[in-house]
Amino acid sequence: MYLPRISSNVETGDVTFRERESSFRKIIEEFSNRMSTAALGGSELTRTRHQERGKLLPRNRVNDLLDRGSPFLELSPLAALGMYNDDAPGAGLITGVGIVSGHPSMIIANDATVKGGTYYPMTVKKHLRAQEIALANHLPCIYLVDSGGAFLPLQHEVFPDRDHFGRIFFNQAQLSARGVAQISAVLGACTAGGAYVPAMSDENVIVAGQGHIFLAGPPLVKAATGEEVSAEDLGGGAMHSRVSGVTDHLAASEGEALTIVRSIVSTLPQMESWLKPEETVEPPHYSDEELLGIVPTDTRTTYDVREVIARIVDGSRFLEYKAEFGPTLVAGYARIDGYLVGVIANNGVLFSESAQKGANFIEICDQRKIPLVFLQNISGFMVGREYEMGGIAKHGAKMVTAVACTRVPKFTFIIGGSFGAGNYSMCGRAYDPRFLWMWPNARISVMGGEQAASVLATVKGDQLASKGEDWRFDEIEEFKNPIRAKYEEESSAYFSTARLWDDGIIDPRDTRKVLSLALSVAGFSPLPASSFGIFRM
Amino acid sequence: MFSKVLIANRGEVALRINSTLERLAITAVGIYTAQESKSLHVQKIAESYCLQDSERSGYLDIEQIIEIALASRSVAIHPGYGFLAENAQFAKACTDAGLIFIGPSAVAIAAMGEKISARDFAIKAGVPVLPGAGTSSMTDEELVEACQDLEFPLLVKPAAGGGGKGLHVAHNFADLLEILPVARRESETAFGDGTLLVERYLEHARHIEFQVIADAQGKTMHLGERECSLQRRHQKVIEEAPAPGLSEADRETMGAAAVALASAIGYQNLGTIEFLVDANSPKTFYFMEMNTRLQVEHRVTEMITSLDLVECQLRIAAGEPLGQVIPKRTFLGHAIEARLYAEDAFNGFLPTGGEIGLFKPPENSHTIIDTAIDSGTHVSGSFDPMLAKISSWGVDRTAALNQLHDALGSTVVLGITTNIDFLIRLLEQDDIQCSRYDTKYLETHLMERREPSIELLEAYAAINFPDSKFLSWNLDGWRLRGTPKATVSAYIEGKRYEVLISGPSSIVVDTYQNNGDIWLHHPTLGTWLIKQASDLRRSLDAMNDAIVSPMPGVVVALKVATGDHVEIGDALVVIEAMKMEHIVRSRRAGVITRCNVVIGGKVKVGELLIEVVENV
Repeated sequence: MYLPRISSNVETGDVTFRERESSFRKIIEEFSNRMSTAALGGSELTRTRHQERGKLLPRNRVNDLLDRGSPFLELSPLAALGMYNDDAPGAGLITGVGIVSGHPSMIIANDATVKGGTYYPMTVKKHLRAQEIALANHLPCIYLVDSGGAFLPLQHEVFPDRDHFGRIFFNQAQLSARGVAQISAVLGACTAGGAYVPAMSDENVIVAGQGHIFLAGPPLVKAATGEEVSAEDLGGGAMHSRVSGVTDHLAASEGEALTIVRSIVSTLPQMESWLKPEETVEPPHYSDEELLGIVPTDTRTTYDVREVIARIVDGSRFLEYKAEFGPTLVAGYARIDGYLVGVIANNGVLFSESAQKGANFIEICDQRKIPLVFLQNISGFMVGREYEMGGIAKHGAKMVTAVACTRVPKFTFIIGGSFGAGNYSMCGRAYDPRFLWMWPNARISVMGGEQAASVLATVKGDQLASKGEDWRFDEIEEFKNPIRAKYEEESSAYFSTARLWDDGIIDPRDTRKVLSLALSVAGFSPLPASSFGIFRM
Repeated sequence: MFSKVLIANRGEVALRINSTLERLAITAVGIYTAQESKSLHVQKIAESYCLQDSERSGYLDIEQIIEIALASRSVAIHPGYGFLAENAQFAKACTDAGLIFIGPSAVAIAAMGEKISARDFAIKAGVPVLPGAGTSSMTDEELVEACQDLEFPLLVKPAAGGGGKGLHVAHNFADLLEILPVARRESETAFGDGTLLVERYLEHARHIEFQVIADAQGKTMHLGERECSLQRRHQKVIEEAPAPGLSEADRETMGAAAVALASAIGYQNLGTIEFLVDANSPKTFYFMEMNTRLQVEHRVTEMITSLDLVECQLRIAAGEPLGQVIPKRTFLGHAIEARLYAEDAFNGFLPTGGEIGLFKPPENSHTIIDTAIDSGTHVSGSFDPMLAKISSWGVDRTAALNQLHDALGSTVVLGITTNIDFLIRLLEQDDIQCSRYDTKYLETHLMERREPSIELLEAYAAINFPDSKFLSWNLDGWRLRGTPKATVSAYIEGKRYEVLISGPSSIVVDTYQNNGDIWLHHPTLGTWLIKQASDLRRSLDAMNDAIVSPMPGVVVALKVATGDHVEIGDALVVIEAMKMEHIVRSRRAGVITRCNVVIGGKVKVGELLIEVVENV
C-alpha cells in the first residue's frame, strides 16, 4: 500500500540552498580526509613491514573474508581520532557487518600496523561495542586476530574495570551461550589476554608459521622461568593444532585461513528475520544529494525536517501521525528499502504535546512491531515557568520511558544538535539504539556552549556579587571564552565518534543505505512479549 | 570396399577414422579399456569391445585385437597412429589372420622402423643422409672409431627408437665416450635393443616432411610437404603446409627424393618421409626417417589438397589404383595445425591433468578440431597428453595464421592447465609470422605468461558466488563514503592481485568454478586460473618433513629404506597397536632421507619414524 508522498518545497536553485550546500561540502571534505587517513591504519613504514612479512593489511583481510561484492557496514572508523597523540587510527581495530558465506556477520579485525594491534582504551570499547551489536542482532562474530594484547602504558584504563579487556571474553561466552557463533582466525600474535579470543571461540583457525597463541610470549617466559623457547614452539600453529588442541584448523596461508573461516560460517544455521520488507522498493522521489543544500551546518538555523525524511524514505512517502498536534516533533510511517519503520524527527524544541505525541507513537510502533528511526536535531525541552507548571518534566518522562522500554529495534541518527534531555527522549546512546550514527555537522553536549558559558558566568557573578565584588564585562567575556571553546571542541561529531559515543559518522547521503543494511540484520533476535496496551496521553 | 573395419586405437584418432568410415558407410568397430567406457570414441562408435587389459597395454595386445576383429567379422584393421601403427608384427598378424592391415606391408614397416636400415635404404635410393656411423654389431669402441672422420657435434640415437626418446648430443670425443654407454643402456631399457646410430648433428635445422602415397600397382606420388619445426622435447607443437619459403624447385627435388625412397622399398599406402633441412642453407636436406602410417598432422595436407587421407588409405588398401583414388593432385592455400596439450607450457612444459570442467570447441570457419575431450572428461597421465588438434585453412599463410589464432582464442578448455595461451602467444611472435624459426626455437625462445589485464580481473571481481545472496543486500561492494572501496583478491600463479569491485563487468567470460578456484576464459584475454586464496598447501606439507607414529605400538613392517622414492599415499611403515595394524602412509612424493625404525621395535606416539623430502 502506498503512503502519501511528501511535497518538497526546496528550491535547489536559490541562494540559501547553494550557500548551505557549499558550506556542507566543506564539512564533507574534511570528513572524507579524516576517514581516508584513518583507513590507512598505521604509518607507511609499519604497513610496509607488515606486508613484507607476507601478511595482508587488515582491510584486505576483511575484503577477502567477505563474500564477493558484499557490502560492509563499518563501525566507528574514526575511533580514537585525536586521542593518544593520534597514534591509534581507528583505535587499531576494524569492525563492521558484512556477508560471509551468505551469513550477515560481525567482523572484528585487529590492525597490527597500529602499535602491534594492542588494545587502547578505545580499542576495548570498540571491540565491546561490536560484540554488543552482535548480541542485539544475533550476528555471528568473526575475529581476525593479530594483536599483542593490552596497550601496557594505559593498563589502568584497559584492564581492571567491568567494561575493560576481560569483558571481551565474558561477552564471547555469553554470545556463544545464546547461540551466536564465535569464530577466530589467528593471523598473527595472540598474546596474553588476546590468547583468549581464539581460545574462547567456538571454532578457530591458525596460520602456520604466522599465527601464535600464548599467555606469555618468549621474553616473558624467559623472565618468569628462565625457559628459552621459540615463538613457534611456544605457541605456533603446528603445536596448537597437533599438540595442545587450542586451535582447530591449521592453514598454510592467510588466504587459506580466511577460506576455512568462510567454510565454517557456511555450516551455521540460516537465520530467519521477523522483519519482512516489501518486495518492490520505490527509491526516494527526491535525490539524497539535495540533503547537503537542505541541512544548515549551523545547528541554530531551523528548517523543515520533512525535507530530510523525503530524501531518505521509499518514494519519499510518509504517513504522518498527529500532524496537527505537537508539531515540533514529526512522527509517522515510512518505508526504508521496503522495511516499514516509524520515523520520529525533531522539528524544533520539545513541548509537552510533542513529548506526549512521541510517547504515543512509540507505543503504537512497539505494539505493531515496527522498528523506530530517530532523526535527532534537538536543542532540548522547552524551559520556563509556564512549561514547568504544565508538567513538561513528567510529559518528557513519558517519552523517555517509552523510548527506554520499547521492544522494537531503534536506530538513531544525530543529524543536527543533540542537547540535554532531548537526547534522552530521542533515543540517545544511553537508550540502547541498535545503531547510532552522526552526521558530520552534528553536535552533542549537555547544553550549547553559549548557554553553558552564561550559566557558569551567572553562578560566578552571583558569588562575586555576594562578596560585594565587581565583575567587568571584559572579565566576564574572558571567563566565558574558554568555556565556549571547550564546548565547541567537545561537542563536535569527531570528539564524539573518537570516544565511541556513536557507531560512526556517516555522510548524510549514506543514511538510507546504512539504515537499510541495519534493518536487514535487526530482525534475527526475537522480540519479547509486550505487557501493556497503548496509553493514550 | 570393406564392409567393416576395426579401429585399433582410441581418442581423437579413433573418432577421425570413424568419421570417414561413417561417410563411406563402412561399419566401424571400436575397442576401449575398462576405464574408458564413457569416452567419446566409445559413445560415437556403435560397436565397441572392451579390452581385458587396463590402461594402455590393452591397445598393444595384438592377439586380443585380432580376436576382436575376427569375432566382430571385421575385414580390415586401421591402426591410426601410435600404439600398433608401426608395429610390423601387428601388420603381419593381421595378414596372417586374413585381415587387411590398412597401411604398408610388414616388411616395409620393419625396414623403415629400424633407423640404420632406413638410412641404408635412403643411401641406396640416392637420398642424401647426414654423415654417420653405426651397425648393430658395433661396440662402443668400434663406434667411436667409426666416428673418427665425422664432424662434431654428433647426435647419438637408438636405432630402434622413435619419438625423440634416448637422443644425446656429443660435442667432442670425450662427450661421445661418456654418452655411448648411457645411451645404450637407455635404449636397451626403452626399446629392448641397444643398437646405436651416430649422425652429424645439425644445430640449426628445419623439420620438413613429405606426404607420400603409393598403390599396390607400384605407382607412388607425393602430396606436398609439411613444416614441423616447432617442437618441444622432440614433440611437434605447430605444423603447417606448405613449408614457408620452400621454392617450387626445392619442393620438386625433395618430393622426388621422397618418392624415390618409397618406390625403392616398394612402399604401399600412406607414409611420411621426414627430412632435416639446414636452416642456413635451405637447399641442403637430409633424410631423417620414415613414418609408415597416418600422421597426427595429416589434417594440414588434407586442407590444402582437399583430400581425405583416411579415405585414400582405405581405397588403396582395398586395391584401388592411385590414379583412381587421386585423379588430380592440386594444392590450394595454406593450413596450420596447433596441438593442444595438457601441459604447463610457461613452466617447462610440465604435464598437467585433472577433470575438464568446461570445453567449447572453436567456432571459426575453415577450422577443424580433432578431439575426444568434452566437459567432464578426466585427463590422466596414462595416455598421450594431446587433448586436441586445431587446424585452420586460409588462402595464404597470413590468413591461415589469423584463422588459427582466432580459433585458439575461441576454444574453451577450463579445469586443467593447457598450452592454449602459449600457442596463442606463439602465433603472435614476429618470428613465427615471418617464418624465422628452426627446431630449437621453442627451447631457446622462452615465453612468459602475460600479466592478467584489468578487464579480466574486473570480470573476475564481478563473479558472484551462489551462496552470497542475503536479503536485500546488493552485491555491489558498498562501503561507507570516505572509506576505501571494496576489493577482491585474485591469486594467479601465486601472485596476488587486488581488484576494485566496480559492478557488472563489460566483458563476457566463460567460467568454471571448482573448489573455490575459478577458471576464466575470454577470446582475447586468454584462459586463467584464479584462486581466491594463495595456494600454499604444499608448503604446509613441506614443513612437515617428519612422519610420526600416530599411536604407541610395535613396528611390524617397514616398506621403505633411506633413498627410496615414494609417492603420496605409499605405505611406509606398519605399526601394530590395539590388536590392529596401522599403515603409516607418505603425505607427499619425495625421497626418504631418514628412517628411524626397526622391525619389532616399539614406538611412542608422536615419535619420528621417517623423514620424506619432497621432490623439487
